[in-house]
Amino acid sequence: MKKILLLAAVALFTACQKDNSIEIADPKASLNKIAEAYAIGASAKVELWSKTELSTGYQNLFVALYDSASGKAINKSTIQIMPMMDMDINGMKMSHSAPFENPVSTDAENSLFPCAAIFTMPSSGESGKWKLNVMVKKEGQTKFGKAELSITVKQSQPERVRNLTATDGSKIIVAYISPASPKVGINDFEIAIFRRQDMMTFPADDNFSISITPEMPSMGHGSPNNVNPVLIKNGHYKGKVNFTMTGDWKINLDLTKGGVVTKTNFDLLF
Amino acid sequence: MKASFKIIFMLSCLYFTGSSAHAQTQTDTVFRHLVLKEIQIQGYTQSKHPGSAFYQSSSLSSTEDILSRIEGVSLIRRGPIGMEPSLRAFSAGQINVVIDGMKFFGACTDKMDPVTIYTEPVNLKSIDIKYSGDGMSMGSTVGGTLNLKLAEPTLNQRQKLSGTIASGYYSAASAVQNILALDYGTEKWAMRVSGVYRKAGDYRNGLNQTVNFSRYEKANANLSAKYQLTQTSTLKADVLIDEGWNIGYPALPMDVAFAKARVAALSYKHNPKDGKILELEAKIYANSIRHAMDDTKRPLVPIHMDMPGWSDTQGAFIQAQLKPSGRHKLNMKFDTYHNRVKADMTMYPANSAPMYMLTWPVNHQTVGGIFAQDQFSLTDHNKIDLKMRLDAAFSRVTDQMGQDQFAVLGYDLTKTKTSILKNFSSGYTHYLNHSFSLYASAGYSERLPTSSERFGFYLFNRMDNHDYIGNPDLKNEKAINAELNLIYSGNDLSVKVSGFTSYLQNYILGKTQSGLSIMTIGASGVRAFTNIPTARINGAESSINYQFADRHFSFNNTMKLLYGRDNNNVPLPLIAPFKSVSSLRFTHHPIFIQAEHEWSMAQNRVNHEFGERSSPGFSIFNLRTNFTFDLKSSTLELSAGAENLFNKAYYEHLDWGKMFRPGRNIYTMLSMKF
Repeated sequence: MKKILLLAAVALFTACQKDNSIEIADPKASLNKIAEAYAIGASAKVELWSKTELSTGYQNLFVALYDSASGKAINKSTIQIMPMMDMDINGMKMSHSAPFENPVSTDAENSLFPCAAIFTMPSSGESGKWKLNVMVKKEGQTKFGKAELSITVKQSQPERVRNLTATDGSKIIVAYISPASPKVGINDFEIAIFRRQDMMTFPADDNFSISITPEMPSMGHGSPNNVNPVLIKNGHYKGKVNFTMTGDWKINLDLTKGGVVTKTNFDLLF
Repeated sequence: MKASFKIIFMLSCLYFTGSSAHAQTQTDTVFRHLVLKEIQIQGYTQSKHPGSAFYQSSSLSSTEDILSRIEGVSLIRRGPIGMEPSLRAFSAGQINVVIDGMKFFGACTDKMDPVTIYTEPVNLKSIDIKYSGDGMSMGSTVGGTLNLKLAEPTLNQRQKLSGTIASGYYSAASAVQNILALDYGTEKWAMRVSGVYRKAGDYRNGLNQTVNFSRYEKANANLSAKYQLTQTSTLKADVLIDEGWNIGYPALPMDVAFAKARVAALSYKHNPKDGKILELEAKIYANSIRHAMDDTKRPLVPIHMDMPGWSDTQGAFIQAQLKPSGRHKLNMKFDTYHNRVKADMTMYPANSAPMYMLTWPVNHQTVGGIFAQDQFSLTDHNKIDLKMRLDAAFSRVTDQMGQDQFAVLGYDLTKTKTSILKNFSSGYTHYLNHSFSLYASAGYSERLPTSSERFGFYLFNRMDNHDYIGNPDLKNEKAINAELNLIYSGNDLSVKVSGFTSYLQNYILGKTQSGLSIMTIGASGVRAFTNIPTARINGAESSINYQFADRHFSFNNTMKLLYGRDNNNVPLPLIAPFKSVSSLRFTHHPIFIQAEHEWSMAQNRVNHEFGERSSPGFSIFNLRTNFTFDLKSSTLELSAGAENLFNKAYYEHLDWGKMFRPGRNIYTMLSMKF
């Protein structure tokens, strides 16, 4: 009986919530503001939002644009992002970028422009500073304006990105995307693979075939009926990973390209 | 469905064709003892049947000790207590093990808590065994029903207060047992209270070695009250509490930290003077079991784990026995129960996070059934007994995690599963003359798969060193059973010989799944329960009771033989070899002396896939004595004896891990009845 009452209460509550959300409909309600800056030359204020604090690995980002004069939200604009890491190791200065994914459309979704960056290392005080350059070209503008947003990237725990030297000598970056909150049962599994062409260029790599083997390191067993990830597009590979219990899991991946296998893994704890 | 309608139609036709029946009460009583095995438990009133003393060989006997004596019962032994009864090679979900007709489901995924562990002889009146489809009145079953009938308080006792107090000691396990039972009865109401406390250390086997992890401790309390509502009706309430702690299972990798059962029941009985109904009985009941496995006392455990289990059952039934009408005696019963079980496992690896999974996802089973029986006399010497039962069963896994776990194995458990179970049995009794009778029966029955068979998730089986996973798509197991009994019952000699056969379809057995990886460290593989096309179980039993020399001597012997094979002619696992138990008792008040011999042949027909190996035969002797001192208002009884007199190192084929049983066990018990 108690259960039924509780269920009814939950149903009622969720029903109310639904009504409310139609009225409020703030897309940023579940997001945190990470940084903001003005895009010089585009007369726009750029805000960077994210679901979580920024950490290494695949990071979903949301850009919100406002007219710097009127403060009104801008819903149509070309946006290009570029993560930059400025390093200063005992006076030796160097910069490099990281893989990223620009907004796919010039139209905002719910007044936000979703994009992503794959942070390959954490920020480390004065010796390693991340920033995100956001290039904005509003509808009708012919030139890009640039905003530089200082950001702090933490080390993901456990690590969600692998900077690898593949067996063929090329440098690749493998980013774990999902499951973000793994559960016992069948989970959608997704990773993205990028190739480091040079310090500033990281194209997606669509040429891998992948096999997946989850394992519980403390017991040595795996799980049945996993589905090997296959290419979706833009370096994203999707499959299924199965967990039979909670605890420490290791997802072992064999990345094969041109007959050469590169091994890597991601740790999970839930 | 159609077939069962036909049966109902047949029954009603027969109903109108009968005429007056002949009472054969005396023969019926013997018949009941011999064919439909009912073992009276010795409380205050000595059982009338001479054979009952054979089954309950001493007043220290546990429920399991008594069961082990019954020719149709074998025990699967994993530890000194908690042995799993097997009726003519049918066990676990193939049989109904009920307490006073109440459905009960163990809470242990590793079968460490068969229902029998939660009762003690002191709170039992009798153990009623019906083989194969004969046992369908308590639920659909292919293997039969074992009903542990609770002792009842008695109204209108000759003396208002009576009771027993007893205390005993066994040497092999340095065990103590204390028993108290009190009966109070007036005209209007009666009450019975009983309690047992048992504690045993690690036992010593026939090689004089101490068997580690074989200790146990348990207590049992039973309260029963009866109230006379009207002249023809009574109300009875029962409460049973059984609690065990630190129960060792030397043949398994884990012990049991605790096993707790709580039972409550309320029953109403009405014997109207007028009308068509002879007796009406209604009962509602609930029981709950809490069980926790424990490996903290074991050395060299790779990963410590907690494995608790929960089982809750609620049920009700109403049954009416109609007054004999013509040649017919009709019996109807409606029953229903709901059971919920859950078991989980948390593992604690040394240097990482705990791991958690459901070994039994929360699953609910609701069953409703109708049972009808017609016993009718064709002539004075021929009786027919028709039984039928229809059950509707609904099962459902309700927790998300359990559904997700099985999704990994490719099963969708989001829907309720429904099935209809059909059972039919017919018996024919022919009284050849005053002493000889023949009883033949044949029937068709079905049973549901168990929680483990359907929803078990990586349950480790020590016997074959495999992890077992359930199969939610299992079909119901079906059996066609037939048996023939010849009974001779004279003044001093009674003999029964039975032969029986069962042809099973969709027999449920674990089969190796090559695509699955093990979970338990060191396991050899993963097996899933599957329906194998067919299996066959044949067997024969005999029992003899002979009294001679002015009934000073009583000789008893039972023999049993079983034979089982699957569709590929491979022996079925867990089939006991030929065994014979004999006893010779000399009684001359106030003493009796009893010598017993248990003899088992080797079992070489084994199922290697299940991890079985041949077991040698054995032969052991027991000696029992009993002295009765009649005091003014009470009786003092001293029992003493030695089991396994010659300290043989032996085990039975169904003993897991080939652990030797206790060596010479000298016991003594003093009891006072007042």
